[in-house]
Amino acid sequence: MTKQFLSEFVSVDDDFIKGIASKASSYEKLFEDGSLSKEEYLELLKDLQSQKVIAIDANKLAEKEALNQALNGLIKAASLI
Amino acid sequence: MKKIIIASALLLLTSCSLLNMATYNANEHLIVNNIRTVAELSEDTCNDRFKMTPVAEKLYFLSTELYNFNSLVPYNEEAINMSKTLVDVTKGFHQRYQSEDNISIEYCKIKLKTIHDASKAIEYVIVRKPK
Repeated sequence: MTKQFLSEFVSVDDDFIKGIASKASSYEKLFEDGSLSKEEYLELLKDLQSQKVIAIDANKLAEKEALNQALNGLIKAASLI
Repeated sequence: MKKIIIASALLLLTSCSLLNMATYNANEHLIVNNIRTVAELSEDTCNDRFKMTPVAEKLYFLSTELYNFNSLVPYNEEAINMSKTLVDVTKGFHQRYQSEDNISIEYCKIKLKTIHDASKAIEYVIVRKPK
């Protein structure tokens, strides 16, 4: 069930979602073959949530920076008129 | 005369950040780069628990330092959230090395990669803050 659920996300277009789903899938395999303990597996899955939070905030900040740069460009251009 | 005053005001504005956002800070950049570098260079240490314990502590310390540094800077919500999240990730790593006897090499490698990638994502945006 989980595998089927994850495989649907692995095939979506968004690279970030695909990457998260692919990592979740590889962690599940490592847990199943005994390379990860249950606690380690759970912690790594929670870290995927954290990566999502960081990516969202990084995007917000990048958008603000781009807007700031654009406004500065407009001011520079206007000041030359 | 009026045109000169407007032009001067506009030129002055170009040196400032227009939106309410924190500006680039070399100390913030240095701390996040330290986190990324420590995570990047420590992968080979995963098979030695006694060497990895202080590395996990250092990553937790640096992330907390980054959060504390950011937390009092005005108009810095995104950087505060990102560094707080990084603290959560490194805290789990540090606590496991303090309390667990058996830690898998796979867990260690994935955790270091996660910390490396997260700090790189943060660094990517903080170097682009207005200067």
